[in-house]
Amino acid sequence: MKIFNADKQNDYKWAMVIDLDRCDGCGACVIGCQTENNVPTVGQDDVATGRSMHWIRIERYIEGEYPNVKVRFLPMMCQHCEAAPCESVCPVYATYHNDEGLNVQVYNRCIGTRFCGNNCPYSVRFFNWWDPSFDEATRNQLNPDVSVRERGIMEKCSFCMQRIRRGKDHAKDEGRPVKDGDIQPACAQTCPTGAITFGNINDHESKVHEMVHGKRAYRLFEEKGTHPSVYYLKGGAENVF
Amino acid sequence: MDRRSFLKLGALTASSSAVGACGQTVQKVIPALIPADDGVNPVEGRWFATSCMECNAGCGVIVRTVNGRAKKIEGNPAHPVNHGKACAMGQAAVRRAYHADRLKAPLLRKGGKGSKLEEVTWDEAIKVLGEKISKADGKVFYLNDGVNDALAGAAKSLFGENPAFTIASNHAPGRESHFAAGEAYLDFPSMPFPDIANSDFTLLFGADVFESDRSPVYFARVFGDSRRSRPSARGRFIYLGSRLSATAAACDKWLPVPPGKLGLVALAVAHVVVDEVIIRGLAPSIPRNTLSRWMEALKQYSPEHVEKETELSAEIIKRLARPFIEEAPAVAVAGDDVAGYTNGTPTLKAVSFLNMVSFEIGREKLRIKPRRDPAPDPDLKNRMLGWVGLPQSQQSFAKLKKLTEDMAAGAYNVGLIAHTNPVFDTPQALNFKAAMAKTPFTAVFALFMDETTADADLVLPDHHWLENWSAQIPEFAPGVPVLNLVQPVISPFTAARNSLDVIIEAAKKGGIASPYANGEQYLKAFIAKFRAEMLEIPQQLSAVGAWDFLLQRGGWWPSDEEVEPKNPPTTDRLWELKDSLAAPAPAFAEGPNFPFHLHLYQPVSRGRGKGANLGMLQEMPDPITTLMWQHWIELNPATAEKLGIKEGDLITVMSAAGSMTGPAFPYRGIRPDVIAIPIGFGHTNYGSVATNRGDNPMKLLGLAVDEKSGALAWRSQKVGVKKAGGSVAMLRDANPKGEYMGEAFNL
Repeated sequence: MKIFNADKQNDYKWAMVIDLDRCDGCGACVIGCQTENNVPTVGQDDVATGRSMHWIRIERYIEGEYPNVKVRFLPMMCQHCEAAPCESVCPVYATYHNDEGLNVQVYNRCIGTRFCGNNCPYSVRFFNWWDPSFDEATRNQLNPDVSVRERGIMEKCSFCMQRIRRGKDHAKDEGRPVKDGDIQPACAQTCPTGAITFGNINDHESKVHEMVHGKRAYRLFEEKGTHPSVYYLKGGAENVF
Repeated sequence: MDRRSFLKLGALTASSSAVGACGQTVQKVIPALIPADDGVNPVEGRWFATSCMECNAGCGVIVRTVNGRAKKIEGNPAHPVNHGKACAMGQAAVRRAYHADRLKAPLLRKGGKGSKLEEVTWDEAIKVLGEKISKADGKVFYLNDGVNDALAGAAKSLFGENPAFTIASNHAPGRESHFAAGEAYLDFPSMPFPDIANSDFTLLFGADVFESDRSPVYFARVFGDSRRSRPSARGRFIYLGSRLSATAAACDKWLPVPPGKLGLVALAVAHVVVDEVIIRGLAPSIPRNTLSRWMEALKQYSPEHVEKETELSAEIIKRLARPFIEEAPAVAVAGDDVAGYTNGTPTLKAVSFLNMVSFEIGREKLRIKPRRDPAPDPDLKNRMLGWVGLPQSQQSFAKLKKLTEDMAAGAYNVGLIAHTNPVFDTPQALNFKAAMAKTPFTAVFALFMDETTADADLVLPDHHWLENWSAQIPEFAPGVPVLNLVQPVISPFTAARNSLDVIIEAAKKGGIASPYANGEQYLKAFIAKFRAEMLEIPQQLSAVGAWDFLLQRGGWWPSDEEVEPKNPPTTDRLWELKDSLAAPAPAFAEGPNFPFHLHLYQPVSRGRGKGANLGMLQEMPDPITTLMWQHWIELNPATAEKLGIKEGDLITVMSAAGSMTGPAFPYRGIRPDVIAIPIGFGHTNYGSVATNRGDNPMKLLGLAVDEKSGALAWRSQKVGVKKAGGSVAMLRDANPKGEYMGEAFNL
């Protein structure tokens, strides 16, 4: 089975670029994602067992000893790998790759084997061990565009699939292709420093296309051959002062 | 035609007609099913422009509602403060509006002090408040959290005639020092909003501007722009201060400096810069004799003089000064780790001085028009503040302290407290709780039961800002008045009532006439009054049209053309420096067993305890510690080792004012002589999520103030630490494949 076909060309291939030089770790993306995608909180007791449920999280790294300490932030979410290790192990094709480069999770196919989560080198898949408990406040806010996941289902970042659909619908209504910047996932839309950029990498005029061809661009665990669709721009610089 | 062709053709026709019909039928059938009201797609919902009131920064937001429920808050792309961006707390605001703990009905102590709070009707609540106001003899006070909103303006216009009336605010500490320092350099008091976006080098003097301070979203945006939005250069950021905060983490380098000594660094940098200006003849706009006067004043602050006290070598200080000359204008920003000491105001002035000199050096080669001080029209802003908000002079810790003392002496008959929790978030040494008990009648406007609300005699449940009419004038760049309108986006979730309506109605019952029947009328009258000066409103619009125009935009702010100075800013008066070029030694509230400096700070996106009742914010990992649902006390690992403390050990922090206990979190990014504790934890009565989570570090604070501005010197407390016995598990956001520690890979 050929799981990665680099030659395949489509109108759209969605990609995200995260500029680590801009990220200030504020967590606006985390809450933006949670409110957009009906991601539940798991509560203190579950957190104590090592569980957490954030489709996007801010990883924090500390380097050096006092007084030469450096703290770095790295926003991490599903990398939407072209050759995704999670896809090939799903026995029911609940996770598959669509034509636009998205690693898609079909909730009503998922039978909860958790093979995908086990195989993900980025640890960005989250399993619902219990039915989510939404309080009244959360129920009122639930986004009607996104289905709520129940017990036994694996979930993860969808690149805000519902927003991609809506963006394409709007473009279709107006009889034009999707313009760069039309579609923004919740995290990219809210990021106060503008660290997150989203777009169609097959559009050679797009911002993401330009950014991934810059000198600072790299992908996480590239050596594993996963071909992620999320690119990071290296932060920091030499001779700062 | 044979049979085969006929069938083929038939199939083709059938399918094509089906497609055509399908497209047409959809358009015909769906409008029949869904009443065509206003062309809104019910699935996509509606978007309303309003303004976030979660903190006082004043971001414009747009809110998506579907079927009458608010779904998502995004930044308003047209708003000058946040340009379409939003922070975590702002986006979590919907959960606050729909929170199960919202107060459902007015509560009254029917039997007076000491009796229980009981539910009453709105009619009765307003009648009681009216009676109390009529018998108060004008001895009324109004206290809020420092927000310039319509409620404060209305309170002032209703009660302000009486000389016994007092208006005060319980705002984030240190704000008035910024205003005092701003007044020394500009013609009017102002919070500095430096032009970071266009500068190559920014030196942060203990300014945690991405976490708390003036406006986290504004500063985050200009940080991003400075870093990577300009093709010319990458903006560099250096952070000086006693703790490596999340803001410091985003900077290129953190240089630890002893608490209270940042003024020395600022003046030493200024010394190097002014020296260079004289030698190289830079900044021709500055008169020579002024330069020599400065040099004389700065003599004692040479890098060599201060290197021991600041623990920064003369070499480092000279390197810090270089960009202020070569890449001028470079920007210095001062924040809490400057304003929080007894020498806060002089230190802020020293930082402003550095900015001013660098600006003069760079004036010649500026390509981008500096937006430092666009022609200030303080008059327009002040006149607007007369309707919406409080004059800056009314907002200080000194005023709050005086109010508390007067309350305790029984000087007021009626107290009105709006959306602030002074019993919890002021230093416990202030004893606001006792002062409230001495006030015969206090009415509190609140969304939730909290420590202050629980002590009130009358509780008036207010609308959340998503349900409310209001307006706000945020503190923003000097001379740019920004008016945020707040409109109801969702129908009220509880039987709460708009505080603006309630205060007008109660005052009327109390014999104070108001020309406005309710809050909405008050706001419309305000807009009508200033309409002629809001040039962006199209002339041809009627009064109603103008109101709708502003509601659709989310408020009013001058367009960029108007912001540009009509005349270049004059700096003549800046050369008169009086007391400015001095860095007095900080005073600390010491004690024999108190070897450590207490460093309290506002954690990201939780405010001063307001956000603690949201599970979503509790579960958002702190960016530095990655802790969730938990309070913590930070100390340097070397200090921890010396005291035999390990991560999670419960420790007690003691000061002359009190003590508190919590789990230890050794952190490398903190000076060994500093203990850092996030505030906003340790609620005792704030709903099930927040109550008894951690301990309130406000117990540790004394009442030391900045001598010049009267601001609370909340970083000047010294403390001792001892083991309390026992330990707890630390709830860190752990990757199942190992913790995020060490140099995992090249970022």
